[in-house]
Amino acid sequence: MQPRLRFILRTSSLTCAMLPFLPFTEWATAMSCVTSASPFIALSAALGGRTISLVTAACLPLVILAFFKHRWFCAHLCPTGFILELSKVRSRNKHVSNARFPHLADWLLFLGIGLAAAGYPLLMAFDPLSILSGFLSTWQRQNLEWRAFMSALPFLGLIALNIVQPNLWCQRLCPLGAAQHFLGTTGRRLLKREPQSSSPGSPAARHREDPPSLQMSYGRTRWSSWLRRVPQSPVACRGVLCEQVAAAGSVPAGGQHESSRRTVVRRRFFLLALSGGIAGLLLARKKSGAALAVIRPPGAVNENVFTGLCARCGNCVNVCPEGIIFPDMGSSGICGLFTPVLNYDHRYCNEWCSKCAAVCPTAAIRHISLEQKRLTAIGTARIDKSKCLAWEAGQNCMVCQEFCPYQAITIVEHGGVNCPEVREELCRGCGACQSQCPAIPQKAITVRGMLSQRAIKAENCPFFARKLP
Amino acid sequence: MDNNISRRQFIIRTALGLAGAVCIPGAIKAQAVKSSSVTRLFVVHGKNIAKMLTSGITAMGGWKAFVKTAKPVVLKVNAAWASTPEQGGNTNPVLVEEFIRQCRAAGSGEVLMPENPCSPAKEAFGRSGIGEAAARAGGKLYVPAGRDFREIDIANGVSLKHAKVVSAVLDSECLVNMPVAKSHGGSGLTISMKNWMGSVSDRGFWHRNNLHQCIADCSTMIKPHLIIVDATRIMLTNGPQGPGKLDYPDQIIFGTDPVATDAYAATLFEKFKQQSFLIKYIKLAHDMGIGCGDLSRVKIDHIQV
Repeated sequence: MQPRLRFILRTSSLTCAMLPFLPFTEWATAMSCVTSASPFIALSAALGGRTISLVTAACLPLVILAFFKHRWFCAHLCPTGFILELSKVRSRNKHVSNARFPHLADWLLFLGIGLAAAGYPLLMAFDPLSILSGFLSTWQRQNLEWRAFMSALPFLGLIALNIVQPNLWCQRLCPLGAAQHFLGTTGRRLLKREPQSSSPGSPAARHREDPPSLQMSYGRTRWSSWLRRVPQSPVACRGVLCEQVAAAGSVPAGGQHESSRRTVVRRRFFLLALSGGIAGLLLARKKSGAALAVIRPPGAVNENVFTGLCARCGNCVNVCPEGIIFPDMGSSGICGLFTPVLNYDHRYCNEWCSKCAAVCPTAAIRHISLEQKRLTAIGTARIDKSKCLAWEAGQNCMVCQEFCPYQAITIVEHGGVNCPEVREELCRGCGACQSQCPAIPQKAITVRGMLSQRAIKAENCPFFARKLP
Repeated sequence: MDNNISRRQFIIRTALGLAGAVCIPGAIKAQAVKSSSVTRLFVVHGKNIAKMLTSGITAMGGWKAFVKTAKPVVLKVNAAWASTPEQGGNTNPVLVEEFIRQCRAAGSGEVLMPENPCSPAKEAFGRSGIGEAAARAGGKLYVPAGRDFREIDIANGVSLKHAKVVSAVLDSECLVNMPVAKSHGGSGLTISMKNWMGSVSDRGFWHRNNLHQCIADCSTMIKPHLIIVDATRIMLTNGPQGPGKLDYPDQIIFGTDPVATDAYAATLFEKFKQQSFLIKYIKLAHDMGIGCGDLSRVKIDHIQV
């Protein structure tokens, strides 16, 4: 394909990916589709979350494309790959070979799928589209706070990696690439299209025929060759993505190699997926009991699953109009790093919004209607009477009661002063009370999260009959 | 009769004249002071809000008494909560719309409506119907930003000595307070004096430092030219946000004395029927001389529409 045409294709693909994230667009579904266009994400999310939604279907074009065209997407459409390649221009190490580096992408892919099967697809954060989304979604940010920009860090890290070691990500680490490769080789086998048998067999010859990204196929290098430091012979390439240095000497071209490789590959994949599954089961079990303090966005699945099912795409963090969702910096454990948590210091999760659920590509935050959201408890408020202006200082405060949209705070008279008490059965944990509590230096009323969000019965709420749009 | 007056007569007449010159204007002035010191309230009863507003304003002396041609009017409504007009959490949007309309018709300039809501502004202004009412009638409802506030000293403040207040409120030549009467967890009731909390930036300070005193202190500084209390429906419980139990007095209270209007509006609530001084800030404001909260000394005219 003409380089110019390819450039146009990639530019338009990148533009399309950017569109839903522009500050003035409100296009929640499209935001989630950018991430879930990746079959790796879609499959992991569907397996891990045990649900299939319409957003899952966004991966279909790429599945079909990969099935017939192998990694054509990587070289012609991938927006992350395009940006990485542009960043490479400044790199001094353009001709560094990645040939001796192991195919960690396979590991990520099959471990990830194993983890997903166990209900804890932790590795979705390594998906390039999710990483890109983390960067792009910061454009939606309305109130600027440094913590929110954490979601852009993986992408910046990726660029840095690509400058230091060009193409390493695309060729050896990208699980989306590995997924396409797997689909592509499967497709080839099923369609009985064996490029090796039809081509003269020399790496250079194959190289000219295939899209450049095909150069990242298996068998060229393996752990063994990497360890043995097999001498490299560079192969010139017209492709932009690929300045592949294939370890040609280590690969006997032809069908014999191909079949033996497949067995190895199959066994390895199976073992990887199996170990992923075991790890997933262990991780999902280990999680319970931990991270009681964090509050998840409304609609989030059980805490045990959530930390795994979250792709860390940053959509919810940045789309929140109140700016109360932040990437976690460790309060929910090592597995919960960069997952979204709510912070009610200044603002709260009001009852008129469920945007975060709409933009989640993996259904870690389930889509919920506003009506459902208003009947979902995501946490429980607690009053520290020793800090409370009313209980401790005898002030006529009651700001918590004033702001509580669900009338979950009752007035108790104490020494002639109205004092607040939380009705836990009505408390949604929205944080209105905490955000407005005037006690200083510490808030007297704070919300704690819960392992599993709880539905509240509408009939328990006597005056709760506000009409929704 | 001799045309020349005697020395004695001259002295007597001069003395009388002087005494009259000194005393009569004083007496007139004393009379005038006495008549204006009688606090007056006009309570308009009825269902038709437009007519109620018209007759209330007429009773107060007509629009010309308040509105100066082409000068902006600053209207402080209560549009704090994302609740519907029927729930009584905010000023009645019909009243707001009618006010702006009549105000503009009387030749006023822009009607500015700074409001610092509690719920998210979009929801509060939208669901209360006040945003739409203002837009229809030509008022400018807005959330004051940082630069719209001005730090001022409150000379007579006991607890609240400084406050950041919306500049428009401080500078207006026609400042109108249009609160809704409803119950309030912290202060008992919120009517007109408490409504100014929507025009200051740091509400937290008030809650930490004797809320009632701060409400009274604030009213030593912010002096509205007209107070219109919406008591068409009043929220009896779960205030200020609600929803709660409602009562429908179908009244609009017009006055210029914030203490008197609040004291009268308080009597509409069962709990404070006998003693509006149970609301501490009304008592404090009365004692500080901000206005008259003793309803026996307030002349209340009831107008049926």
